[in-house]
Amino acid sequence: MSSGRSIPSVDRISDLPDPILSHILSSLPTKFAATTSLLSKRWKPVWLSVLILNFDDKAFKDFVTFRKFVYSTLFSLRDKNTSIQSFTLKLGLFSRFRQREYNRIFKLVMQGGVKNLNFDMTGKHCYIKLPPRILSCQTLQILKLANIKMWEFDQVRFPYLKILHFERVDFTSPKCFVKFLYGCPILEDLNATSHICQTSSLVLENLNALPNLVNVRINYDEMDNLMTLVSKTRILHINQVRGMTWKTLPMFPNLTHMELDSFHVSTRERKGCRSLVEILPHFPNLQHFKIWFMFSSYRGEGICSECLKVSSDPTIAPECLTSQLKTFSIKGYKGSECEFNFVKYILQHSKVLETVTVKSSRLEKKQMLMKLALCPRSSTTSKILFG
Amino acid sequence: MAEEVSSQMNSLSISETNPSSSATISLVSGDDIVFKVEPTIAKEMETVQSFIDETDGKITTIPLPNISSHDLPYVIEYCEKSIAGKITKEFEAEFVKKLNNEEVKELFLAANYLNIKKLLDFLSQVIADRIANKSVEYVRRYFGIENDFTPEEEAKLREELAWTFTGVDPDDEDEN
Repeated sequence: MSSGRSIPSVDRISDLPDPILSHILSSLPTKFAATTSLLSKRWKPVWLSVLILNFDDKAFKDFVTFRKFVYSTLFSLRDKNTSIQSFTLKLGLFSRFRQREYNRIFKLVMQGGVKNLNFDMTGKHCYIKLPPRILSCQTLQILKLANIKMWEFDQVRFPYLKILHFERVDFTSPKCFVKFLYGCPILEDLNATSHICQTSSLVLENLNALPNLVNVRINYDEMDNLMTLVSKTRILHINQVRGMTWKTLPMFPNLTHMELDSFHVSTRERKGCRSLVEILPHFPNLQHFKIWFMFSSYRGEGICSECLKVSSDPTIAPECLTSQLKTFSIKGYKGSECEFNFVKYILQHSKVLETVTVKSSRLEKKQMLMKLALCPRSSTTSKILFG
Repeated sequence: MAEEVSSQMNSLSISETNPSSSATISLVSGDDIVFKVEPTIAKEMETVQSFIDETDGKITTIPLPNISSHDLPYVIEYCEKSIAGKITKEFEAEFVKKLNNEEVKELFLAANYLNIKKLLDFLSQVIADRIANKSVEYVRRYFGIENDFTPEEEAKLREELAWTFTGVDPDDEDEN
């Protein structure tokens, strides 16, 4: 058995070709990759051919040092013709490249044929005018921007972009945000926890601009049009839900998973609120449904009863309940009457339901949950799990 | 440890000897142990598959002199999971927990030799995680790298590297 084991001290890794060695270094921060040039003569040039660059100023004592490292790596040490597959630039609070420096860096990155770009200005909310070149990057497939305020731009053209994440990216106007989306015709994954002000007045030209969407994570927004723009998605996660105030919610024909996160309703926002049951027919193929209720303690009474209002007429149960819904989860359940009636409604009308998960932090939850367990159910095989 | 591994090996070869399938592939490790695998497993190993293709499927016994009978079952296990579409974060975490540094390196070499991209990517990441933020001396020991720099050369290199971090002014050439 032991005859096949090699002797530990023999270094066979160093005999591997450059691309394999640089592959090992590619998931490491570029600063660390640079130190592997000290290992041996064999390893000395390897880090310069890594296709994935990751610059994070956190690992440097100050910005001047960081800037020098970025500059020498990109402009003097690496061969200009080495391609760059992925480029990450993370800047902290005190880092400040000048506009023309950004232009120069991103120009080189674009020339390297970058497919994956991550740009994070942690904690630094200043308006960035992304070099126009970036915004028409033909090779880009993944773009993740974080902590950036976007300055005005003319045109966005990402013909191959599939994944777009905006984490705390602010746009000067909702129009800009939508313009950005229009530039990504084959987008599949959109994660936008951005600040896009009230936008109900915005008129969109093409509501079918994003036909390939699969996974969408957005903040609740009153913009009915934005919902239309993402209506082809299969998975929808809405954050910071503040009631159901959409006036003209479109149909979501492909949607199978929906999550309503941090669902909180203040007394002031009750006006014009629609009920969940009323909007469910817009999701005819919904199979997995999650709601997370948030309670603001100072507002006291909890969920707005409008949102959870149920119809007493069983003949009008939404299609997704009678033929699709398999799992239903609810977090932050407090057992108020309207909550109870809502869950009861789901149990009563969901014919193919498999599991219901109820999570509650209340002390008297045992009684609350017992009450739920006794509700009549349409699906004989459904299970209720309590957490 | 040895017993545990060999029992695992037996169970693998038994489960892989499926009587209904006529075309099982025999992989022969460097220490002459035969592992019978389904053709679908062989497909995951590009090197093996191209060997089979070159001989129009006539040859089904493939010698793998660079891979020991200790490492091959791990490779087969990974390929099986991959075919079943069951490569999850949990599986990978469990898989790597069983491996010491030497085994990780051996499997990495095996994955490279057999040209199994997914396994190679995964193990690259494992190795990267294990050397991340370690000293140059540690990384040398990890790979078994012999330092072939003279003390003068090394000192000069360290200085140059320090210069990379601190010594040069970014040139302000404006290229827009």
